[in-house]
Amino acid sequence: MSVLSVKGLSKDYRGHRALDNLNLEVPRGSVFGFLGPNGSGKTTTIKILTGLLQATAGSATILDCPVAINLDRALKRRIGYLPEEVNFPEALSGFEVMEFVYRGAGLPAAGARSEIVRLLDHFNLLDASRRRCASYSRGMKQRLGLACALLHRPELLILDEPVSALDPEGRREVLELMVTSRAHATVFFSSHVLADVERVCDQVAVLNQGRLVVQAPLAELLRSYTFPKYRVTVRQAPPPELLAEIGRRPWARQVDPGPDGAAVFTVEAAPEISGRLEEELLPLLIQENQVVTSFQREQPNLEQIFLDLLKKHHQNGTKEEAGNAASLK
Amino acid sequence: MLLLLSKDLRQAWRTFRLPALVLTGVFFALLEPLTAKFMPEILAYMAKELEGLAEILPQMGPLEALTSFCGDLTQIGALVLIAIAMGAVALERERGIAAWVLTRPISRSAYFWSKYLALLIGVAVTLIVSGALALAYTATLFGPFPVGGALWGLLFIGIFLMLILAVTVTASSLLRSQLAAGGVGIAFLFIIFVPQLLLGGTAVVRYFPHTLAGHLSGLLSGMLEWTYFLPAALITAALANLLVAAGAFFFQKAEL
Repeated sequence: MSVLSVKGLSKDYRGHRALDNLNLEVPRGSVFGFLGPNGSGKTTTIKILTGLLQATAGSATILDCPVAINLDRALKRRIGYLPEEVNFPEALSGFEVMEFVYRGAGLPAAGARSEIVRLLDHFNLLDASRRRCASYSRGMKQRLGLACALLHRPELLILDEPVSALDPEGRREVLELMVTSRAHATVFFSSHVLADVERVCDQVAVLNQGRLVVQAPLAELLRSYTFPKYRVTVRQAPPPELLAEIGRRPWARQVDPGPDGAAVFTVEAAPEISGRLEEELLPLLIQENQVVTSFQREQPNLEQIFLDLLKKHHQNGTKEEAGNAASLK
Repeated sequence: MLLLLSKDLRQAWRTFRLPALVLTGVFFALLEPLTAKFMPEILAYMAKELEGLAEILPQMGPLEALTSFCGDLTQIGALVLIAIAMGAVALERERGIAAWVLTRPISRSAYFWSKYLALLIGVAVTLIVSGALALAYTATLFGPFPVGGALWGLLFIGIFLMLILAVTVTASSLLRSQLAAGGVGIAFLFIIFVPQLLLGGTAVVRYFPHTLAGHLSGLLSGMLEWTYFLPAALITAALANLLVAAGAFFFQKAEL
């Protein structure tokens, strides 16, 4: 069952399409990574979902409630949101900000102090809690923003680049917090730090130039979008004919010759028959008088998939544009 | 609403916006009676040097002191108010604070009204503190005098400033720049006196908001009754609140 559902969402800014026909389904209890390079439309999507921007077309629902500009207050009570650049009323102290959020959420006054202190302590802000927010560093503001997002125990956490300003320790703690939060909340967060996403997410969507490139469970993505890759180092740069010959073999899906004159190249195995590559590539190289100094299977990761997907998306986009231009002629 | 109002009042106090407004009023409350008291003496001293000046010297008394004080509030006070109010919403939008606040379970209309009311409370405090000070100081320097007209005058100035505040806060919410909002406020402060130029001397002029600021000397001197200002006061107050209500309505659908 989806906690967040997006159908055909588009957003135009002064003639520029920032978001183009986006479709998403975020399952309940998942940690959902929303990926994309800078300017891909992640923040625009999040701003539409939190009622700060009006979509040009399409619709979305959060917790079965329709999303529109200026969300219903009852729905806002069920969402915890952290913006990318978080800024608080600057004359208030960290404690006062938390108090404001607590009272604004309509929570019982009885437990306010202890709950606020607990969260401030958890995010290492207790010592600075009487200081004005204006004097906080970016990392402190981000931690306070996270504490505010969690204070009212929301069912859905929407976090825009939640660890971008944190040090490695703070980053690890927040990522762990996201994983533990899934017991009572769904986490939807945007990031371009792929290692973080790979560490905590079970669902991933990749956005590029305002368009959805892929949405899938992370495990499925790693399985379907990666093929075993072998990195071969030889003593001297191999002749292009040899690389072309390798590329023609049925077990080789793709050969990446590496930079010009390099003695390293990568061979991507065809699906299901990577074993044959392992059996036949080395004998072939020896037969062609190549001295192999290293032969290594590369571990596929999300970063690789991400970059490949973006590359293909760019290529498809270019072809599409060329096609459109041709049809116009 | 009370939660937002207490936050906005605390903010306005700590960022020196409220104290700046009150201090402006206090400054003129102390300056004008003092000027009225000693200006004749200074001029008389100069008159010894310049023959014939003594004959044309104006008579200065509590009326002149309070008229000048009211004039300061409706001119310099209004400008300071515009400077303080122009960032009320625009600055928070610019810095992303409005977006953060409004993703909490808080209504946009409460947010908007709270900004307006916090500054309106600031105007009221300024008028009460500076008005009391000006009356007390004038009485100390010149002796007792009837204060009824001055009290009505302070109320009408409050209503006049309410409209200036409503225009500036509404502009601050509709325009993305606080400078633009300030520009609208200042332009309005000039435009508001246009009816005086076009309709001055006619009976309808008392229905326009500028009457509350421009005809105060008549009220203070007793030439005009407070009832003369009632139509303008009611129209101005209604206009201010309608403007804020319209601003709150449009702010509901504003992109942040």
